[in-house]
Order: sequence, then C-alpha cells, then structure tokens
Amino acid sequence: MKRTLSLFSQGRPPLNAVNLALLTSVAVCLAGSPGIAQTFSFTNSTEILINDTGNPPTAASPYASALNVIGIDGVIDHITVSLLGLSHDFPSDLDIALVGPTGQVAMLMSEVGGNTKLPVSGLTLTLDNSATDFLPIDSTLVSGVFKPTRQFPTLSFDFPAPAPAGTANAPADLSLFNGTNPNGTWQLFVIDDSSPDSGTIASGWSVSIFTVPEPGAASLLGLGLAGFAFWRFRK
Amino acid sequence: MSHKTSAGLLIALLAAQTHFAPSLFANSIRYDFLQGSTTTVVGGSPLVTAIFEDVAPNQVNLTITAPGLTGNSFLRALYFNLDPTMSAPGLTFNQTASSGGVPAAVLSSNDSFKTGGGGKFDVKITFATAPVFIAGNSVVYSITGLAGISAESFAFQDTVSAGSSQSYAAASIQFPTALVVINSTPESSSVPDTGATVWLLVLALLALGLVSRGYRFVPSLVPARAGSAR
Repeated sequence: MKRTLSLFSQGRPPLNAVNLALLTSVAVCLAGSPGIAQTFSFTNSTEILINDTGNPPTAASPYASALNVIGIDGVIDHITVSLLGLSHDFPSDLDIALVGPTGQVAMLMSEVGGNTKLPVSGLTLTLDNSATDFLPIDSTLVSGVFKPTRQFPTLSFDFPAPAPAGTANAPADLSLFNGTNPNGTWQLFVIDDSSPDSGTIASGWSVSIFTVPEPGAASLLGLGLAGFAFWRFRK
Repeated sequence: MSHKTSAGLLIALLAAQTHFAPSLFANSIRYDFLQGSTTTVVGGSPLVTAIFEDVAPNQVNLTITAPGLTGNSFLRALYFNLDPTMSAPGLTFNQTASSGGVPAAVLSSNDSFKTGGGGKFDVKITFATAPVFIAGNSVVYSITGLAGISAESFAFQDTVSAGSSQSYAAASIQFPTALVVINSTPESSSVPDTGATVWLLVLALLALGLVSRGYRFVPSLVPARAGSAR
C-alpha cells in the first residue's frame, strides 16, 4: 500500500502523534534560529570622577564602576556601551576599558580627542563595533556613535589593580563579548594617564546587550522531535 | 683735579656701573636633537638645534636650524617648556630672520601640547610640510612679553605622565617611514655680554689714565711722588 505523508485529511489537519511531533520540531527549530534577538539595557547612573594626581596613571572614582546584569536568557550577539556626560580638559589623557562577567577585556577609548588641549563637556559617546567612524585621534571629541578606538596599539604602563593585568593593551573590539553569557558584573575602568587635567562622566554609563537564545539546546530538541516524527511515519 | 676728587669720581663710576650696567654674562640654552639614543654630539651634526639666548632684559632669541636633516627627512614640530611660574599665553614670538622661508606657526599655552602620549609642553612650533624645514633652513624668533623672561626660562621639564620620562624639549621629525619624536636635554652656557664688555673697557681705560697721572688706589690716596712727605 502506497503511503503518502499528508498533514491534511479531508480538509482538516489530523492531530495524530506524527503530525504533532513534526509541527513541534519545526516550531522549536524556528525558536532556536539566529533570527530572533532581544535587547536589554542596563545603566549605572552614578557619576564617575576622573581624578588627576602627580603620579599617573590615576584611577577614577569609583574604580571600577560596576553594573550588574541578571535574568537574561541566551548569549550575547553584540553589545554597545555608552558614556553619559563625559567632560574633560584634555580627553587624550583618558584610557577607558570594559571588563565583562566572563573576564573578557576591551578598550573603549584610549588617548583620543587631540594631542592639543581640546576640552569637552557633557558628551554622550556610544561605542559600537558597527559604527561608521572611529573616535578622532587628533581633533575634538563630539557626541555620537563611534567604533571603540585607541591611538596606540599598546601602552607603556598598565591599569592599576583591580583591573586585570594587561588591560592597557586590550583590543578596541567589543566583539570579544559575543557568544558569552551576559549575566554577572560588568566593570568600567577609567584612568587618567597624564597630569594635570581632570574630568567627570556625570551620568555614568550604560550597556546595551543584544542576545540570541543559545543555539545548542533548542536545535537539538528540534532535531530530536523531527527524528521521532520521521520514525513514526516510517512505521 | 685733586686726588680726593678723582677718587670720588672713580668710586661714583664704579657704583654706577654696578647699578646700571647689564649682566656681565649673557646665558644661552642649547638643545641638540640627536638621531638614535645618543645624548651628546660626537662628530657629525645634530638633526635639529634650538638655541635660546639672552639678548636684552626680558628678551630672548630662539634660533632653530636643522643641520642634520637631509634627504627625505624634515622637521614637523618643536616642543618646549616654560618656567612653571610664568604664564605661557603671555609670550610673544616675533620672527626676525629666516632662511628658506618655511612657514611656521607658534602656539603657547600652559601644559597644552603632547607629542602623542607623554607629558604636556607649553610651546609648540609647527612647521609647514611644503616647503619643508631641512638643512640650510633657519629661523630666528625674538621672544618677549613676560617680565623676567630669559634663556633659562626654557629649561624646564614637561608634565608627569604614566610610562614616560619627563622631557625638556622634543622634536617631531618626519622620516621616510615614520614620524619620530626625539627628546633633548638643555646645555647651558654663558658668554660675555657685549654691553658689559664696553663698561669693563671704559673702566680699564679710566684706571689706566689715573695711574698714568701718578695716583695710587689706596685708602689714603697719597700721590705717588718719590721722596715726598705727607
């Protein structure tokens, strides 16, 4: 007897076990596909004081500025970071790094904004790998969306503890966090590497986390259900 | 003229010279910017030389040359520091001479110029990239505007920065493959001042004249006449 696989009989969808398994497996596979993302934003609005001493590099207060992320399912697809209300008399004194919950370290900005004294006030800078432009190396900083930028690939000094060793040479690349678990404590380390100018990040900072469900579990479930449905059909 | 009158005249001249004459010596501060890690000139020429020289009260001349820049290397910028008790915006730079006609822009502002990382300088002189400042070019600036300015006022270090040693002066030089910053330390020297030399000459001639008339410079100022009694 010739068998045909049909979801419909006499114009109505039969709710037998095979068809139910097939439908469920398709739904699960779709749910696990990369096309479905969610966005979460977290902010620490506490002012960051950018101190200056005669013995640089000088750590900001607080050092680090921490931001706790909880309750996110899935892994990071990509993130953006915003500095809210940046003011400084000599912005190229600044080195700002982000440490993620799983230990990745990225430099957000280092020695940018002019080798001549070009003060800025109240800027909002959003660092995004997908931005068109880098932060300016030798001209005035302005508010906007920019790629993370560092003037020099390495620095001849390191961030003071408790920043992880080697923070000063971290790449200016937020893709380091892609695929990692976003839940936990994010830390922003700000230092001033040259006297005598100081500043502030008046309204703190925020991180926007774009996620996708973890592909492994959902896809396996979908494949399992599809396999069961096929076996049942063949019987 | 009695000997007492002559003595009084001489004392008055000495007092006037001490009070009104310029400093006996004019100071200069020299910066040689050398290729590589050497810090002294051993044969050959420095790449760039900058000399600050006292020329008058509250006036300093700055002479810049680039004897060692030949081929495709040229001077992009020079950085200097000012005595931190003085205010850099008050400086006035007047170009009084040049050879080669290379345009340059002078900026002065307290702790305002980095070479790219490192500490902050007070004076930056930026040279054009066409034509370029190389061997055979020179420029002289007369620096005024601040009371008490002297060559020594430009022998101070830049501000403290992480990972870098402090520097007195820096030259940014464009080589064929890279822009390189070279630091320099000051060499101080003193040369007899022209005005003071004239004063000394006048005093010497006066002294010779008085001696030739038979006067001895002793407290009693007894005319030196053999066999005479007081």
